[in-house]
Amino acid sequence: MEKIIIELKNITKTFGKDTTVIRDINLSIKKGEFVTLLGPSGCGKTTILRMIGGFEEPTSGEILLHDQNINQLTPNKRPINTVFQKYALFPHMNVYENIAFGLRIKNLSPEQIKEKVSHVLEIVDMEGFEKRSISTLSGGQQQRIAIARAIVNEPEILLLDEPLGALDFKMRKEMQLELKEMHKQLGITFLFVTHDQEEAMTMSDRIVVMADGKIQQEGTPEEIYRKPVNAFVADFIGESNIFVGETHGGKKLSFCDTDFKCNQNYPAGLNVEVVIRPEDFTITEPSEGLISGEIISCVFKGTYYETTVLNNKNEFVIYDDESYNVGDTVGLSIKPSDIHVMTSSNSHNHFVGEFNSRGEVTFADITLKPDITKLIPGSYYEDNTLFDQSGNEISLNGVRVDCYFKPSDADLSDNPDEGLVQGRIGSIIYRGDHYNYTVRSNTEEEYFVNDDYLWNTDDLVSVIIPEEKIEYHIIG
Amino acid sequence: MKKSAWKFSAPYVLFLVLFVVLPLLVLCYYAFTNSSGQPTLSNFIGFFTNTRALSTLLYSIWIALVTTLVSLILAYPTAYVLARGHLRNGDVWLVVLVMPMWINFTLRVTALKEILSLIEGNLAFHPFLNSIIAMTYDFLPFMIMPIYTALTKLDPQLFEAASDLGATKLRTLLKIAIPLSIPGIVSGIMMVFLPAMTNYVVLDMVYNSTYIMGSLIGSYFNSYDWNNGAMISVVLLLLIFSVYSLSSKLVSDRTQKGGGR
Amino acid sequence: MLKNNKTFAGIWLATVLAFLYLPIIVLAFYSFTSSPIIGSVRGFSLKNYVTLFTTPDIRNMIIGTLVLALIVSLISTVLGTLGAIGTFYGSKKLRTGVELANQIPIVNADVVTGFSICILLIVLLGSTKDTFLPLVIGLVSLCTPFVYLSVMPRLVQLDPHLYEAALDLGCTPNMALRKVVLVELVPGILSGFMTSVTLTLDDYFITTYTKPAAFDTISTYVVNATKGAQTQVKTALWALSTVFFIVVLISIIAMNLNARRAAKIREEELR
Repeated sequence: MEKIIIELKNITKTFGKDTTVIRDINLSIKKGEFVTLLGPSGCGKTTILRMIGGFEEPTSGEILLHDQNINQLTPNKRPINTVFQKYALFPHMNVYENIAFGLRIKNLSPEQIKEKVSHVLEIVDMEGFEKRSISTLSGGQQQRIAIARAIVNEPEILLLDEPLGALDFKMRKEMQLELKEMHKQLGITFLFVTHDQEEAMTMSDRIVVMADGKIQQEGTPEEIYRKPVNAFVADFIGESNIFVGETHGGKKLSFCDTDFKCNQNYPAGLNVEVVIRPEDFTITEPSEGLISGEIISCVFKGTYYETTVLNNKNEFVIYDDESYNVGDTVGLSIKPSDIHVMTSSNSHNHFVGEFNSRGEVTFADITLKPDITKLIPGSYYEDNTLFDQSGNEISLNGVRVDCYFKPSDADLSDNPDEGLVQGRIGSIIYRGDHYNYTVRSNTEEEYFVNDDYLWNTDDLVSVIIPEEKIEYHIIG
Repeated sequence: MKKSAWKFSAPYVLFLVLFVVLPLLVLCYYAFTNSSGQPTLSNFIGFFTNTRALSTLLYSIWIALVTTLVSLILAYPTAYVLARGHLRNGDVWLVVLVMPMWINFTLRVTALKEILSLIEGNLAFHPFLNSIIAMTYDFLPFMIMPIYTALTKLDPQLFEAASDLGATKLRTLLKIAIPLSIPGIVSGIMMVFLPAMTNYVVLDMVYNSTYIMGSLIGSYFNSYDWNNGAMISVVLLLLIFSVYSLSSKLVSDRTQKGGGR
Repeated sequence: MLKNNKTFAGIWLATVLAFLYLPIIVLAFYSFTSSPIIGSVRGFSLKNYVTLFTTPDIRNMIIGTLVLALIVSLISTVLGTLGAIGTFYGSKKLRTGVELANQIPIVNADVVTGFSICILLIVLLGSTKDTFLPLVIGLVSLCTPFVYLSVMPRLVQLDPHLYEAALDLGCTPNMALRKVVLVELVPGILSGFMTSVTLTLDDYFITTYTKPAAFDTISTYVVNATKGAQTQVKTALWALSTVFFIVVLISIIAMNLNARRAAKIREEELR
């Protein structure tokens, strides 16, 4: 197939001592592709762009352009140009001079410069604006000039850092299509950064979903929408209903206290997350559905109705063509192929800890003293010394132990001293009736916690884990 | 670039060390030694036990206080009218008001002196009054500017909100404008009070023969008494920088509370 | 009620303006007469202006002051601009340190600044005043902090991506600094330069403590002249004051017109 133009290998980026924004990322982009880095703010997507542009150097890892390491190459030596978020047009130069800036540095003749500038002005549909000063242009016009200034240098890769963020809705829609058209025309590789999933869907050949400094999933827009690999991607791309469930062997599973069938085999007893798109539900008579509930809202959204159905504690959001009366009881049916099952990693906290000589266990950032007499059947304390059931003194110093606790047993608090450990909120997933948070401590340990309250990414929280809810299993 | 750009500041850093910081250290050295270079506190003891020297200090502070007060009373309404009076070309009026700052102060005081002589006949009859008038004349623009800046930074909707809630114009001025423009007032006070304590030339020009702190330095300079000159400078330094740090703390406390924008 | 307020505001403004301008204007009026004192009107005369521009003493003093102001302002502008750029892109520690030291000459009394430079250079290091070196150093130490303070806000406001955009389009770091950053700083640099000129023209104290004995600037000359009773010199200074006033007035009007013209051009472009 087409050649790979740029490749990131094991890239990590750390700012200062302990702010890691990119965690071991691998990514390759083919020549001529339109790739979008998509993710919430602070996920590291702009940092990746800036590293490719040469404005930041990776802390570790390699950036390869045509298989050559360009880590140390300064931006002015890279065949890459950037369209900056707020355009960064030079305010003391007019439109012509802005576009000609890069060409003049390459010492092109005035005739060549003139020809190239008028050519790109034509591409961005801004003929006749040569003499205008930047401050007299509207946002959309500045946007076009910024694009023209970049592509006039005929870069191999064009980097676009949320270039449409400052435009109003209609203008944004229009520019999306124009950019896509320009990409086709120019044949340049586009690397686009946005937090707007719809924008990414409309424009890209390939989407790279990022969260928390890591790539969550790569694929075509359709793949990402149809087969999200985890609950985060499902939640971020489009609307989703996400539930916690359990498999029962074969294609059987249960969630919302109801049994369902999916179209893939899973071993029994797995804790899973189930993702269902709102448009995949069918509203039926109460008796005909797989599950039933009461309609608690029905709102017209222009082309469809957004209906919310409540079953016990669980809310289902459904997109349907018809309007329903609030208070009615309805049934819901789902095709097995529309039940997306994710064997989730963040439905359990598991750490390996170690005993010290005082009978305490240290795991992750936490040191606790579990009740050892419950851990080892028949063991007992006498004068602060531990004996097993046959009366032999035992020492647990250095013994390794599996430690588990459930996200639902832990809680978050903004009082830093209340919990066992402090950290910052990494990612957030909404799960029907609560949020699932990844909390990362400053030693880079991750804790999964469910909480009803909505926190923000990067909030400093402490994790409250009731000691009696932590399970220990001695290893070996 | 970002790694190497600090080098551009090297000449200025060197200059600051050699000609701003070092002179102050040398000043301290001279203040704490006698004319033969022996360390001593006698310069300071001499100053603080001499009633005439102490009355000079008090007179300086007194003159500076009165000048500051008069300037503030004249400047605040002026700045308020400029900033909030809905004048056409408010910015032009501001330029007109601060334009005298650009004219050499000795020439301006000369002009004022001629007018005062015409009115009073002989300047020597009212040395204190003339000094206050001359100082106010000299420093008034420095008081108007920061207050005006502070007032224009205030959100106009604050004033509309106050009148919407039933406040009279006077009440709005007292309860909204003045509290929120305190950072401007403080920096205006700094720009008037500190120079007024030391600018003895203005006093000389209107024939006020009473000494202020600046005049002491001048007279020690004329008699080549470097040690006592340095001692007075150190006393002034302490006074100036304590007033300065006090006022900047006041301003930063205010702004943190969201006083300005 | 509203109308009363407006009237009061007008009267107040007029009073303050009269206080500030009456002396200068009266003096300007009398500078065009042959009267040696204010109050008695005699005929129109340009003799004060003739004295001002033909007495070698006064003429040399004015030229000397202007040359000094120019030299000091140039040095201060270069030093302050480079200082601001360097500290802005440098470490936080450097910036805190420089900004602390930068504040000293601004807050300090000019008497103390002048005296401390005098002690260091003339008393301690024995440098002779006749070289003008102490005088220039003293005035530069007064002016540079103001240049620094007028350049720094422009740097802070500068879109950091402008510099990166220049690199992106092929500039080396130094080229980007010259072609983009420095150009963007021009208004701040200019206003720093102008401030330096007026500060130097206005200074009395630093000059007194560091100048060569035979050299006078406008300030020291005027102060000495007011102590003497030479009527001819005194009235020539009225003329000098008037010249000052007119120059400042013209430059302010010119700046205003310029700003208005620029605004008008922009408005037309927008249409």
